[in-house]
Amino acid sequence: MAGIDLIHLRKTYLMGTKRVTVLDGLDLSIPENAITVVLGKSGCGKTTLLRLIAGLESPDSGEICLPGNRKTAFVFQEPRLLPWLNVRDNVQFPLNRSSIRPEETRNMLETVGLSGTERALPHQLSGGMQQRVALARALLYHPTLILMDEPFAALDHFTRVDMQHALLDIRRKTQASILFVTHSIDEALTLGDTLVILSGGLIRARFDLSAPHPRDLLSDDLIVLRRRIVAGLEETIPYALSED
Amino acid sequence: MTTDRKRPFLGILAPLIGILALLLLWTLVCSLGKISPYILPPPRKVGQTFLKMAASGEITRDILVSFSRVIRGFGISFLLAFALAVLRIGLPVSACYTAAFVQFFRSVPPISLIPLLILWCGIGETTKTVIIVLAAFFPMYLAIVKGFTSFDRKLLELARVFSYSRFRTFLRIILPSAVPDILLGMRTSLGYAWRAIIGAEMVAASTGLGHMILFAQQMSRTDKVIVGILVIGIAGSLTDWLLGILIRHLVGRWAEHGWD
Repeated sequence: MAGIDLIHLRKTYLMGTKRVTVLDGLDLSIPENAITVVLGKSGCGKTTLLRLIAGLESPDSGEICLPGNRKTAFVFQEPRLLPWLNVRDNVQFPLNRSSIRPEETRNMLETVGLSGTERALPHQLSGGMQQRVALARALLYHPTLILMDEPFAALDHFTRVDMQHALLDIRRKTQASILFVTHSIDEALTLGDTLVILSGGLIRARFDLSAPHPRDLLSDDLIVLRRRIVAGLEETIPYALSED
Repeated sequence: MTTDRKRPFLGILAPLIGILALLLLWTLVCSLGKISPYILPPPRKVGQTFLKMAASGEITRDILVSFSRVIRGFGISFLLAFALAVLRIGLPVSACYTAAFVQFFRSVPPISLIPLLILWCGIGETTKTVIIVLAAFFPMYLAIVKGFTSFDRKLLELARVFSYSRFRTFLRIILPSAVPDILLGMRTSLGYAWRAIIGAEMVAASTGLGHMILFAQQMSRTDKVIVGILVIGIAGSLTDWLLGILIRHLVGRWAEHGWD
């Protein structure tokens, strides 16, 4: 699929009597078949950006240019599993009856470390396991674009590392474009082909990483890059508020 | 339910002890001789009358007649309530037109419509079916609407992301979310249906448990009146119990963490 272009994207919300500008004429090109990581402090508009691209919200102005033949999957901050469906049925939720292949479902559950939980209900799983079901659900859909909103934030360190490896592996196999939101610099450096810093409703910095996976986060290049990212994040610009 | 499973004494023995205590009290009051057996026949006499009525098939016939009326009226109520609730969520503006009718008929006891219904429909089955429908429709309709409107809206975003059609969204998200409310509405309505049919049969019927009770009262057969009341209570409890099993079977899997 082709990449995604966001042109002068503006989005505001009414908060009481004040209008909050979350995205303020944002421009961004998201390359195809790559992992683009959006970094930013809490509340800087990262989730709004994903929701606009997914079509769950409309921008006040600006343009979102998406390829016509895309299949989009969204991994939300919370798992959003259907409580009356077991793990297998939740994972197969995006599929039509005719496109369900049990063997593929089993393999996907194995990939995310959930073998043997097919018949378990969501409330019987831990938070981390539920999030892995949500990830498996998105991946089984065979999307060309995956929007991920801090999907690993609830996982412990080891599961998080496993999931990051699984994501890189799946990206290699499927060549999907991934837009990944996080506030973890380590995670951004581990996964990202392109890193952008979102602050004050605009992209403040962009870094392209060419280092192959798996990456050594303690290498000189990445330590230098980390310093630049931290500096970029520290220059946080607050929301613009205006009377409505 | 959980209590019953964990403590069988409370689930099975405790209700039996309660029933036995009531029977003992009833027997004791009758044996004191202060109350005429015409006003309050002893349990033994009521039991004998029940056995005679069961042996002759009289009571079975009345149970089946009342039961079939309840099932018919209840079934029609469910179909109407479901269809109108679907219309209510599919076309929200329809609520503006129907809200006044719903509020009005909710406040009118179906029994009060019997004179008008007899005038319009006679004392045939139609009158009784309409009374059951009026009694059972509203709790079910309100429960189904509640189920269809109080689901987790975030799940709708999931359906949008995965390109679900409106119909598929209804089938896979809205309807399953509403199942606990729908079944509880059905359970409430079933009780209302039983109450309504007995009232209707007392006024406009020549068969059924309601008619049997009224006829027994006119014949000064208090024992038969009590048999009728007990049978209604047991039949109502039995149908409620069967529906309860259905509810547990369908929603019990997620009922333990807030979906009951």
